[in-house]
Amino acid sequence: MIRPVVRLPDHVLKVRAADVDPTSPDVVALAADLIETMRASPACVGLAATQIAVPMRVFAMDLTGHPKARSCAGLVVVVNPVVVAAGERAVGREGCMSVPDLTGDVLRPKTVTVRGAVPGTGADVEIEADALEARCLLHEIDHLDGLLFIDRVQHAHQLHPRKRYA
Amino acid sequence: MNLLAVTTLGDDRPGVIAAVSAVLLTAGCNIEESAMTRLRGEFAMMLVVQSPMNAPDLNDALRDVSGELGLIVHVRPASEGLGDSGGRLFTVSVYGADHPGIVHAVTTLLAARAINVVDVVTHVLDPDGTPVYVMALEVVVPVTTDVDEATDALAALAAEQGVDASMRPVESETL
Repeated sequence: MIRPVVRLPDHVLKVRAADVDPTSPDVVALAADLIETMRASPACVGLAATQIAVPMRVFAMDLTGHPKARSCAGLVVVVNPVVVAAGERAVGREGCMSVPDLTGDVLRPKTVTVRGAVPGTGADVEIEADALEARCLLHEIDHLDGLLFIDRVQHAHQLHPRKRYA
Repeated sequence: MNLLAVTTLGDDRPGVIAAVSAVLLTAGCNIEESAMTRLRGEFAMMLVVQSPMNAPDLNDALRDVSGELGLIVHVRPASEGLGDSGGRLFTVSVYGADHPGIVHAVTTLLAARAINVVDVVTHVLDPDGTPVYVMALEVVVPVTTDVDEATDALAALAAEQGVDASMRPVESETL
C-alpha cells in the first residue's frame, strides 16, 4: 500500500525509532509498503519507516540505474540497521521527501558498511557501499534516529531552497 | 586606504551588482568580504571595501547609481569586529511550525550566554500550506561559556516554542 510521506513539522520525524523483530508480519507488511511508497515517487532512492509515520527501525533503498551511484546493492529493505564501518568524509548535497523545499550540503563518510536483518527471514545482511549509496544509507539511518539533514549541515549557507524561477 | 562597509537594498533586477561595482571600481575601491543575496523581491548587498575615499565621499559617489536603480545606499567606516579568537564555532539548527518570535527567542538565549551569532540563514517552507520555519546559525561560543548548559537551555526553549533545535561544533576537514 502506498502510504503518505510525512513532512516537517510532523514530530514523528524527530522520534528515535525502535528496534523490531524482523520476522514479525507487521515488519514484512511495512517493508512492502516502504517499497511501494518509494516506487511511487520516481526521484526517491530511499525511504525510512519514520517517513511514513511508523517509528520502527526499517528502511528501503534502491539506487538501481541512478547515474550518481557507484556501488549498488539493488532493492534492499534493512531492519535494525547498524553502521559498522565508515571511511573518510566528503560534503554532498541531499534532499529529502520529508523536507521538500530545501536541500543541504552534508558532510558524510564516502564509504560505509551497514549490517541489519532481512524482513521475513530475519537473516543477517551486510551492505558495503560508497558514493551516493553510502550517503543514502546514512541519510536513512539518520531518519531512524530522528535526525534530518538540517541537523547535519555545518554552515548556515549549506541550506538551499529549491529554486523555482518559472 | 579606508576600510568601509557599504550596504545597498532595492528591487531585484539584473545589473544591480554590475552598476554598484562599476562605481566602486572607478572610485578605486577593492571589494574584500561581501554577502549579496535576494530576499523575495529585494536584493541586498553588504560589502566591506578598501577605499581611497572616506565614507561620506563614497556615499556621494554612489548617489547617481542609487537614484537610477532606486537603491537605499549606506556607507560607514567598517568595524574590525570582535574577532573569533578564543571561541569555538558551532552550528545551530532550528526548525518547526512557523510562528513569530522564534528568531528573537533563540538569539536572546544565545546573547545571554555571550554567544556571538556570525551568520544566519532562514527559510520559510510551505509545502502543504503549513508554513515551516528553518533557521541555521553559525555562532562563536566563548571558551568561558558552558556548552552543555547552553545546549540544554536550547532544547528547553525549543520545546517551549514547539520547534526542534540542535547545536553542534563545526568540524573542519582538511582534504
